[in-house]
Amino acid sequence: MFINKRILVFILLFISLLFHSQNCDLQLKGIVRDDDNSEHLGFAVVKLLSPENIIQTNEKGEFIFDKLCKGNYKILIKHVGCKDTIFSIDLYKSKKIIFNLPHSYNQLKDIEIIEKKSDEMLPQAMETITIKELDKSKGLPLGEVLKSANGITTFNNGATISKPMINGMQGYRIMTLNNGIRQEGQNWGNEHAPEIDPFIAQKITVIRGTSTVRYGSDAIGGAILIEPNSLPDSASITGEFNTAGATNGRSGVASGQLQGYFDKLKGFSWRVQGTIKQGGNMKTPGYYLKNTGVEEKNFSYALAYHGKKFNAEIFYSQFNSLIGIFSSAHIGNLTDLQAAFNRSKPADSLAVFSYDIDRPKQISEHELIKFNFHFHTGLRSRLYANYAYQYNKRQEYDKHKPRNNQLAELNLPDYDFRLTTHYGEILWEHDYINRFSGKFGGQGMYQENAYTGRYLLPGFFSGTWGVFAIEKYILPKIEFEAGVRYDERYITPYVLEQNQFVRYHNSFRGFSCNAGFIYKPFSNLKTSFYASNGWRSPSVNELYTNGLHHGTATIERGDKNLKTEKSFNVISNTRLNFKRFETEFTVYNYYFNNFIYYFPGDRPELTIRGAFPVFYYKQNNANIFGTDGSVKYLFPFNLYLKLRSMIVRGYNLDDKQPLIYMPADRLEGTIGYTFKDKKNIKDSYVELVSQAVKKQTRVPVNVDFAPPPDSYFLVGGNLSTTLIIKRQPFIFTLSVTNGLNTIYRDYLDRFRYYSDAVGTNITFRLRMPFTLYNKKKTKQ
Amino acid sequence: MKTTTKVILSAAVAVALVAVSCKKKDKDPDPTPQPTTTGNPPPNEQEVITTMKVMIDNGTTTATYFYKDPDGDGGVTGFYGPGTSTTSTQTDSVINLLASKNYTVSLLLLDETKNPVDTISNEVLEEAADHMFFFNQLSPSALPNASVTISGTNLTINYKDTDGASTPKPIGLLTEWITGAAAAKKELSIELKHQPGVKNGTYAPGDVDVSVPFKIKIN
Repeated sequence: MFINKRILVFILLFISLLFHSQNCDLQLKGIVRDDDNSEHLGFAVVKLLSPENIIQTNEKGEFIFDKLCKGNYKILIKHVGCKDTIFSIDLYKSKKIIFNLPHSYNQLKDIEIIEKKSDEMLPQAMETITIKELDKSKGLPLGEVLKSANGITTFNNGATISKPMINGMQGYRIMTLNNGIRQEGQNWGNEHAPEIDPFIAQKITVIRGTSTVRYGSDAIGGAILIEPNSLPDSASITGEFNTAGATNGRSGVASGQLQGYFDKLKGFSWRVQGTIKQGGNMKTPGYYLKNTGVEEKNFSYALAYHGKKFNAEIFYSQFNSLIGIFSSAHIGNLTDLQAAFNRSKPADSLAVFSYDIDRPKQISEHELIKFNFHFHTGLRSRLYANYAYQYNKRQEYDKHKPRNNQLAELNLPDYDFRLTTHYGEILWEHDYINRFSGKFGGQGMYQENAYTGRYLLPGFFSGTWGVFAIEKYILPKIEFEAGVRYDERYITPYVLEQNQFVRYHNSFRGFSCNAGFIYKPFSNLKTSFYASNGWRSPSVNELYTNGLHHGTATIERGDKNLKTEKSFNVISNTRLNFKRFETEFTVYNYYFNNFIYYFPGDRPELTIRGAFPVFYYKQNNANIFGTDGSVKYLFPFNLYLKLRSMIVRGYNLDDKQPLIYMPADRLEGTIGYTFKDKKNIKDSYVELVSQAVKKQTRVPVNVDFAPPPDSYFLVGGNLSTTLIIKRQPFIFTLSVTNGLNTIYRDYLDRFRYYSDAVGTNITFRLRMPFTLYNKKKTKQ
Repeated sequence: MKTTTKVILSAAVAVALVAVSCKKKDKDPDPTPQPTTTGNPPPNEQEVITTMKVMIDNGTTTATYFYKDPDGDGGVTGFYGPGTSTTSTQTDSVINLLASKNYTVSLLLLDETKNPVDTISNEVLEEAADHMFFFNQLSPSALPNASVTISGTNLTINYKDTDGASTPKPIGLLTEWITGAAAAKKELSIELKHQPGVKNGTYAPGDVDVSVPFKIKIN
C-alpha cells in the first residue's frame, strides 16, 4: 500500500511537471578571466551546482547555460593554476557576467585531475565503481572486480577465470569497452574471460539494460566501460604504484603507472603502465587444486596531444596471461566425467602447493592499438574519429599430449585461435543546445578468425557496420532520451563438413531503438525508466561450432539455421538519498524472441575416444526478469550498514522451463565503521561483509550433469587506511574473503562439478599515488 | 611551422610505437593461417584416429568388426560395422563368438582421413613402451601370462605381445580370446591408453586415446 502511494505521488509529480511548465528559458552567458592579468581563460571547467551541469569555456573563455529558471545559482569555476571558486548569482533575466578567477599560488595540493566533461546520465541502470571500491579488489580478475556493482555476478571456472554477467546475461550479450573500444576476443567460450588488465581502470562503469543503440547491436544485456585516468594537462610527472599479496594461491601482483605532461612540448602528455602477476595453486578448505596457477604480464602506454582545436591520442595495450586449468576438471570422456562427479574429492586432491603451470592450460594474448582524434567543431560540439586494431591470440592445451611421441615433443597447443579486428568509428556529439544534447555516428568493424590445431570453431571473415543517432531533451527536472540505430553484419565461415571446407555466407540486418526518461524532482531523488529493443545475430560458434571441446569435455554443435535473436527490454532504476538513507532499486524485464542458448542433449554421443555429453545451440522465446537493490544507512556515530540483494529469473517460454545457468538469489550485508580523519591518517574504515547465496532451484529438469549445489553463507571483511608520510599517501587495504573457510560450491562455477570453491583468502594491498614533479602553470 | 613539427614528431613516435608492438608477432612459431577465398582448409597438424578394427581369426577364417568415426572425435557421428554402407547409422555392434573356442584377435587402428590411409597401430607398436590396450578397463595379471577375465560372460583374454621395455609389459595389439560356455550378450570396451613414462601394466595412469564399447555374445 505504501509503495502504491509512492508510485502515485511520482505519477502526479510527473503529470504536474508536464502541464505546469515553468518559465525556464533564461540564459546565463559568462566570460572567465584571470583576476591578475584579465587574460581570458579557455577550457576552464564551469559547474552549475543544482541542477548539476558541467561545461567548459571555449578558447575565448566563454560559456553559456540556458534553460535556467529564475532563482539563485551557484557556479563553481575551476582552472589550472587558479583557485576553485564558487560564485553566487541571482538570475531574474538573461545576463552576461564576467567572472574573475583569483590566482592560486598554493602549491601544497597535488594537481587534481579536472573533470573535462560531466558524467553523462543514462536512463538505464548505471553504476560507477570508483577507485575506493577498486581498492578492495585489486589483483583479482576483472569479473570479480565488477561484482561490487549491483546486478553483477560472474560465471567462473574456478577462482582465476571469471566472466562477468549483467542481469544474468554473459558472453556475447554484454559488451566490454576497454578505453572506449569494444573488446574483441574469443568471447564464445564459457572459460574465456575478458583479456583486460583491471589495473588500467581508474573507473569502471556498468550500464545495465540494452545498450545496443550506442554501442552496437550485441549489447543486449548491457555494457561495461573501463576507463583509465585522464592524462594530465599541465607540466607534471605523477604516478601510482600498486601491489597486492594474497595468502590463497600465494599470489603477488605489482602494477605501476607513470604519467606526465611535457614542460617544453606544450600540449603533449603521456602515460606508461604495466602489471605483473603470479599466483600458484589455490586451496579449498580441504585440499589444493592442482594446476590452478596464473601468470600475467600486461603493459600499456598512451601519448596524447591536447590542442585548442583538436586532441589526438594513441593508446597501446598488451595483455598476456597463462592460466592453469584445474587438472581434475579436464576429463577424458563420459566415464571419466561420471567418475569425477561421484568423487567427494577430486582425483588430484593430494596435490601440494606449486607455482608450476602444466597442461591443461590457456595462453592468451591481447593487443590493442587505438588512435583517437577529436576536434572541437564549435563551442559545444565535438567530432570524434577513432580507429582500433585488436589482435587476440588464444592457445589451449589439453591435459594429455598427442599419442604420437614426435608430435607430443613439439608440445603444440591443441587449439590455437587468432582473431584480428579492425574497428573504426566517427561520432559527433553536441552538448546542450536549445534543450537538446545528442550524439550521431557510425561504426564499422572487420574481423578475421584463423586457427591451427583441432577443428572446433571455423575460420571466418566477418564485417559489421552501423549508424546511430541519440538525442536527449533536457528540462530542469526531467530528461528524455530517444535513439535509433541500423546495423548490418555478414559472416563468411569456412565450415568443415565431411572433410571438406564449405564456405557459407550469412548476412543480418536490423534496427534497434530506445526511449527513456530520467526524472529528478529533487537533488536527492533520481528515477529513470527505459525501454528498448535490440537484436543480435547468431555468433559464429552458435551457428557452426562442431567438435569436441576438450576444455569442457563436451561435444558442441552449432545450428546453421539459427535466426536473429530479438529482445525487448524495459528497466527502471531509482536512487533516493533520504536523510541517513542511501538507496538504489532496479527492476527490469527482457523479453526475447529466438533467445539462443546452450543446452545439453538428452544422450551422450559416442566417438572413437569414448562417449561425451553433447551440447546444442537452441533457440526459443524466453523471458528474463529481475530486481535488485541496495540500502545504506549511516548511523550518527560513523557506523554504516549496507544491504544488497539480487533476484534474477529466466524462463524458456516455449518449453515452460526455467533457463539454465541463471544466478541464484543472493543477499549481502555490510556493517562498517568509518574512523575520524586525523592529520596524517585519513579515509580509514573497517567493515564486515557477509553474503548469503541461495540454492538455485529453478533449473530445467534432468539436463545438468549434477544438481545445483546447496545454499551457502560467506563472511569476509575489509580494513583500509590512508597514511600520509611526508605528504606521500600510502593507502593500505586488508581484505578477507571466505573468512570462516566454509566449504561450498557455486552454481555458476563450472569447477563445482569437480571440486569445492576456494577457502579463506587474505589479501594485503598497497596503493601509492605519487608526484615526481609538478610545475604549476603560473603567469608572470 | 611549430605545429607541423609537433605533428611530424607525434606521427613519428606513433609509428615507432606501433612498430614495436607489431614486432612481437614475427616471433610466432607458425604464421597465422588465413582462411582463403578459395576455401582451402587451414593446415591441421592434429593426429586423427578414425577407425578401430577387431580382426578375429578362428584358425580358418577371419571375421572383422569395426567402429569408424569418419573425422575423428567430434564432428560426424561414428558408426559400427561390418555393415557395408559407409554412412551406416548402425550404433551398436555385437561380436558373435562360438562357445569353447580359441580365437587370435588383432587390433588395427587407422586414420582414414589421410590418403593413403595411415595405419596408426604401427605407430602404437613403435611406441609400445608408452601404449597399452585394455579390455573393460581391467588391469591384466603379470607377464608372461598376462590375462583378464571378463566378468558376466565366459571369456578370458590373454595378451600375446610385449613392449620390449627393460621390464616388459603387454601391449594388447595381439591377443588370444578363449571362450567357455554360451552366455548372454555382454559389453566389452576396448581402450587404448597413452601412458608416456608412466606405463606400469595397469589401467590407471595416462590418457584415453581410443575407447570403443563393443558387445560380445558367446553362442
